[in-house]
Amino acid sequence: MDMLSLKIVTPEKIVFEDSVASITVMTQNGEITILPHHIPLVTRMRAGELCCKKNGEEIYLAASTGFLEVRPGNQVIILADTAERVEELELQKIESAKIAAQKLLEETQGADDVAFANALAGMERESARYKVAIKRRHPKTPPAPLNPKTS
Amino acid sequence: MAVQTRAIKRRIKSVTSTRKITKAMELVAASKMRKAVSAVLGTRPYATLAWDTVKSVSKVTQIDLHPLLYTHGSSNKILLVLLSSDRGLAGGFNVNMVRKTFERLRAWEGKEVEVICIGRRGAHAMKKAGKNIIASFTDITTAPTYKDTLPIGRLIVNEFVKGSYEQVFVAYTDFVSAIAQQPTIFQLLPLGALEESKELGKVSQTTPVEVIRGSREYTFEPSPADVLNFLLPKLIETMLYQAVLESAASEHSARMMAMRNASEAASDMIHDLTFTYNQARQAGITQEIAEISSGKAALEQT
Repeated sequence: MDMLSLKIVTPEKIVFEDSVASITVMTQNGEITILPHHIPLVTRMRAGELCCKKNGEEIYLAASTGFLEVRPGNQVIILADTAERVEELELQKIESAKIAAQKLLEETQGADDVAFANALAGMERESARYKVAIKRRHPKTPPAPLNPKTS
Repeated sequence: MAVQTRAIKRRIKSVTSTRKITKAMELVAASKMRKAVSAVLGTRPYATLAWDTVKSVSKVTQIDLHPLLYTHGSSNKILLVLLSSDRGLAGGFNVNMVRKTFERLRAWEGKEVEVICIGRRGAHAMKKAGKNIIASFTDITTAPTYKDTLPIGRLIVNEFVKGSYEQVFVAYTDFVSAIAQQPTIFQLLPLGALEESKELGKVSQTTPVEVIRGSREYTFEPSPADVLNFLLPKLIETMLYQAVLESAASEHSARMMAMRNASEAASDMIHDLTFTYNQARQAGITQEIAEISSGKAALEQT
């Protein structure tokens, strides 16, 4: 079976590098899933959950804004501003960060555009982290597959 | 005789204290280097991949989709961004960079070149050469942050879009390893017509991803303009930041090596001087003995 070689890179480090069967990400236009043999694509990502599947196993990451590029030859590159694997997320830290982000957002509301945009981006990032962390902490029944099985 | 040994002794003392200073500077440079190197190696994959993305994207898209992809106006001026250090005592670091720059300037004979300098040393050299410096940034190179490089990126992009320049180049020192740094010049703009240039951090790079080209078009979501609007300015900033980091890592490594060489030279010198001192001392003693014994012999004769 064909696999996608996925690379998730942030300015700090390479977060994830492996071959996976499918990748589900949040883009500006909504959630998309990339399967092998996808046509070349460049898209903007929104802060949110990122899920890759490998051998039936699901790997969750929290990513913030960035780009996704599908290159010919089943290569997928994700250039994100930040990205963490679920194992790295600490719920308490995220909760306090989220509250701080919320506060900042309220403070900067009506102030200058740049500060507000920054605060909003921070808020989105923390929300995405929070969502992913919560999901991992209270594992419910596995969510229904978003895409038909590729095997 | 005593005068000579005293002079040598003083010399040894002064060289020893010089060695202490160079040793300390070496240690400081080494700790700064460690930080700079980890920063540069961390961001390198991101910058390389982003650069690859833009190169492949700009090859398959129409050039008029974004103002950064093509040259505006009919100006044939070139803008060069020269990265150097603020301080000297870094061995051949600045010298090599400036030499490389002059080589390139000769190749551009006939075209008007304007310079943006980051770091004092490069600015001095360009001023001496009588080049037109449109901006000079200092105090960035020792501990660069992303925020520091933003205004520089904005300045470059604005001037380019205004049509002031035909091409924009960046001259920086590529960090190969702690003992080898390579002065490099690469083309930053326009992104649509890049000459083949060396990649940032070419050592750590395995074979670059070669994009299969052809009639295959890239899909852009939501729209090409939207994606390029977001991607290209960010890329310029990333590349510039990466170049600054490479340069900083190279600077600290070069300084560390220079200081290590200085310390070693001082040690050698102390060794030589101690040898000479001992010789002189021995000669002094021998002479004194000869004087005493000849004096005694003279007394006995009478």
